[in-house]
Amino acid sequence: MVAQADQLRITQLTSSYSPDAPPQLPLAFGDFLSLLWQIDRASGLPSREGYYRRSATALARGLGFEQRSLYRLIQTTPAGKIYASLPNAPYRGTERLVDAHDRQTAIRQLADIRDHILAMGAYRSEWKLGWPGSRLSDVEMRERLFAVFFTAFEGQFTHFSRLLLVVDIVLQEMLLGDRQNREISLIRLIREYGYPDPHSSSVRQQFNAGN
Amino acid sequence: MLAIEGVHVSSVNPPGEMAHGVQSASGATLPAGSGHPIDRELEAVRQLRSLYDTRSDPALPLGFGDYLSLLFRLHEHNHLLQEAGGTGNLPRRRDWYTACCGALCQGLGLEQTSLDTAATEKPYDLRQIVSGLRPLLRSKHGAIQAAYYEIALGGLLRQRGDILRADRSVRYAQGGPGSGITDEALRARIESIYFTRFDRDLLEFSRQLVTLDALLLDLMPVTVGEPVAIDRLRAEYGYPDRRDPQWGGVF
Repeated sequence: MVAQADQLRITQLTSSYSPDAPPQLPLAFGDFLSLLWQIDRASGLPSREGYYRRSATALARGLGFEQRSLYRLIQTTPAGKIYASLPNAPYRGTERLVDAHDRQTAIRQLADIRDHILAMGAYRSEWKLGWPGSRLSDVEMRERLFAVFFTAFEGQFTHFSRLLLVVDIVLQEMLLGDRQNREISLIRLIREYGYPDPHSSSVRQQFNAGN
Repeated sequence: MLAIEGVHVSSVNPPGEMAHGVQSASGATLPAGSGHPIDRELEAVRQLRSLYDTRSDPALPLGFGDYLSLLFRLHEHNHLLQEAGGTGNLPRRRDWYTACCGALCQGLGLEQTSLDTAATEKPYDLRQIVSGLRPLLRSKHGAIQAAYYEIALGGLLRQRGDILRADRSVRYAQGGPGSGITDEALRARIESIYFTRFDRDLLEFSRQLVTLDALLLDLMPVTVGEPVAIDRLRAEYGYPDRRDPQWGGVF
């Protein structure tokens, strides 16, 4: 069984972070990694990409690592390439070059696990016109499809996606060099660090513009 | 137990020592079964996730799910071949998978159907498979319902592909990713995720494949034959024999 607190955290990490689904829990390093993933996913959608870049930038500042190479990654890397660039982090610093290659390999593997989990967690947000099979007239078949897409998938995914919690701690250690538990509330991020306010009509309009 | 901020991780295997089990799709070791009925399902899941390579024969008769998994592996290798430009063993591996797919396609009676895609560039292309099924779906369900069946089939095939894709992306000869990291504690945490949690959780997560395949089978507008044992596949349909010298060193 997955503890409720863990489940809420996983739900947030796999959420869209859109103005319609703002984070409910304080944001931490894992949320930053999920926002980077959302920037990649928004490639080709400039207004959406801008929203996620502002969110990630504000969170990096709020969590206090704006002096790190990871922060510059948000500013300099094109959408769609950010996750692929994460493994190069050990080469951007000046420390621990002896094991930089091993670190690079480990980061790549962990980022890939994260990528797989988030991709599957995003299924629901991609079903614009109902889930696949929701309009079948065959009731039994429809119910079986529902069971696969929701009951079976959600049950297994809940457990599998728990890996995120562990992966994020290790990734933080490799990308930031510490295991410090940094957290900041959404309100504070909006007021002090310029995180886009999900309740602002202009933010919402911009998020949806051209999409 | 190794605990990371409330997330308890099973003990880490000593370096170089793997838990007893079977090879996963990437050659990694998956937890072994105990013969319990529930474990029989896990055996099927392990096979569906396996590489179907020359290291061992599939233990269970090969059915529709195995065929889809083989198409997925062939698709992956075609993609790798395109990227790598035909270097190393990739062309021979592609030949191996093409031969496996061809034999099983015959064994399951899927020749000349839209699922007979082994010869194409993208054998597991969702659009290609689903659009190929369109005429049959239309004649069976009518034009409007057929469109919904296509969406359902596409959704299931995509989910199936994503489950198989969720695998180790880093190939290695010795040790795991990060095995050369000098910080011992960090190395142990990476190993705990890589060797213990990931394999176990991935196997559990992949149980869905069994349900998915049963549903796909019922939604498909084509008749699929019963699973065929590997010996019969070899004898009657030319499934490649891993002991044949021509396949030596392919994997």
